[in-house]
Amino acid sequence: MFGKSRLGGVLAGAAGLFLLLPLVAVIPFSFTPKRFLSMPDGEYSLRHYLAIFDPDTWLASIGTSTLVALLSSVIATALATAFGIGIWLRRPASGRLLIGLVLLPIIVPPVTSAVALYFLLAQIGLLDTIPGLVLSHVVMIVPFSVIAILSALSRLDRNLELAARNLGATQLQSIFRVILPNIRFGLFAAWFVSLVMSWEESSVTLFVSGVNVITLPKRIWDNLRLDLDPAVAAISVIMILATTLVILFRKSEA
Amino acid sequence: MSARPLALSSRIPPGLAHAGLLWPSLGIILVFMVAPIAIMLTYSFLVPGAYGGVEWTFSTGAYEQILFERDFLDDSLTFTPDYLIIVARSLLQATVATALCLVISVPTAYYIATRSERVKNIWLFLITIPYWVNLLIRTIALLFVLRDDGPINSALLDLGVIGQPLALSYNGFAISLGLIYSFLPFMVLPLYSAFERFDFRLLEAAYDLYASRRTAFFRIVLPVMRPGLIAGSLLVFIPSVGSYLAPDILGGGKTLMIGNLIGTQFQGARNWPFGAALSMILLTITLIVLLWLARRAAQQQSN
Repeated sequence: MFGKSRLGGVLAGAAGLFLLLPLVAVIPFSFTPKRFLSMPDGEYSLRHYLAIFDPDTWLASIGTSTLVALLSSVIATALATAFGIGIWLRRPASGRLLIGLVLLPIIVPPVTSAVALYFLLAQIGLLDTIPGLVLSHVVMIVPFSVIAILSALSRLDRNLELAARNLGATQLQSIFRVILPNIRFGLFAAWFVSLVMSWEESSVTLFVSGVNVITLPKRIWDNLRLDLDPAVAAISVIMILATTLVILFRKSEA
Repeated sequence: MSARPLALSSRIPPGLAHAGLLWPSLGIILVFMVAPIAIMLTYSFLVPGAYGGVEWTFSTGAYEQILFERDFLDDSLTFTPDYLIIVARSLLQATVATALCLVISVPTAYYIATRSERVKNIWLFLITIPYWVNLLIRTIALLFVLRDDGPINSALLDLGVIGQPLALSYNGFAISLGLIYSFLPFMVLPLYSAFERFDFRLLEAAYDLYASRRTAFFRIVLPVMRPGLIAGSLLVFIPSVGSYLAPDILGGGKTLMIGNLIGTQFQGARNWPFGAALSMILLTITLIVLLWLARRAAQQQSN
């Protein structure tokens, strides 16, 4: 179809290179011995990697981001699991509408969500607090968790649940003893996707936090405002490497 | 089987139990997404407070501000296209990004889908890395590439192609590139899965029946691919229109898009109603595009 795929190969190669080149290009910047962002010429230094371990700045933000990601991913997964099982058991006529409603945060432009959440959190006094940030993240990541749970449930055999109920299991027993154990990999996938999504959420975070609560994306952002600190390059390299390793690990597990 | 939530909650179990499962998620979306949008809509019709915030006086001033400038002296309105240009620029940038992502992704996804299992997995792995890496980090990485001392400019300088570094960053071109770079994986992956499910025997049958390549593409491939194309386009267009990171980091704050204009209303300008009005316009644009594409998809299915 595309010139016996020779042209397709070239285009695919170019697309791949375009997507990956910037991720590789950050690496040399992170090893500059200079105080400001520059390409190292001959001399290399790890000083900007050491700077990440400053407990007052970078390390504190990594801690904040981790805490928020752990809390919000667990809450989001619990909510999404209940929702998914509710839809699966009942198969309501309005199921598509309800799913659509829960997926709303994906459809609404991130900046709009950010502004909306900013107004609400300002109203209830949770702006720039950990609970406010966790709530915002839960709202933003619940859709991804729901998608993962629904896809796991769609592969679950309904007869298993019917059999359990026929044998006298209560609804609660069938959920905890039959449904949940059978979708445990889906649960893990949902939690994992939520964790990554929360860890990476920057659009809403930049609006609803900033002075008291400084997440990692927020600190990177602030650093970008002031001057291009090479520590940003170092932290980028670490995050790109971590992401790559996680994907590799997940691939080898699957 | 009635499934309206109200009907559910008035029932006895198991209906109640099911509602109990559904409500926590629905509740959090209603309280933290639908209600705030309602607040935003309300604020967009109020008057800005002196130090941020709002004053509870009804006004359409925020929406008027998009088109007109109010004269301080005689309170008259004069048409100013500045903000309209920013909205138009956002739409244009998003359209260009979506179109270019489509052009790049269709052959790329087709190529990947037709490889052997092993090669396919390597390609998917390479495409998934940028898909998962933090968008902020990726945008900064692109800035590094486009910088005056970045790899592109240094390579061209070393080769003697150019005398001084090209101005690749901090302009409209950099924003376009940034949007494509940000959202290309969101186009490639749905198209890949559409090609993956495509039955290539259909194409062979078409050729056997003397269809030309053109006819085969438009009559066989395109209809099957349409859901993937629509999904990919939405996943690129929606975040592009309201994009905040790419224009800010790569545009150097000079070439604004609507997302940045909204952001400014909460940082420097402190005009909440204007920010709310702009957000409502962005949301409306998004919903119009979404509904239009959803209708096209539905029409396609019923044909």
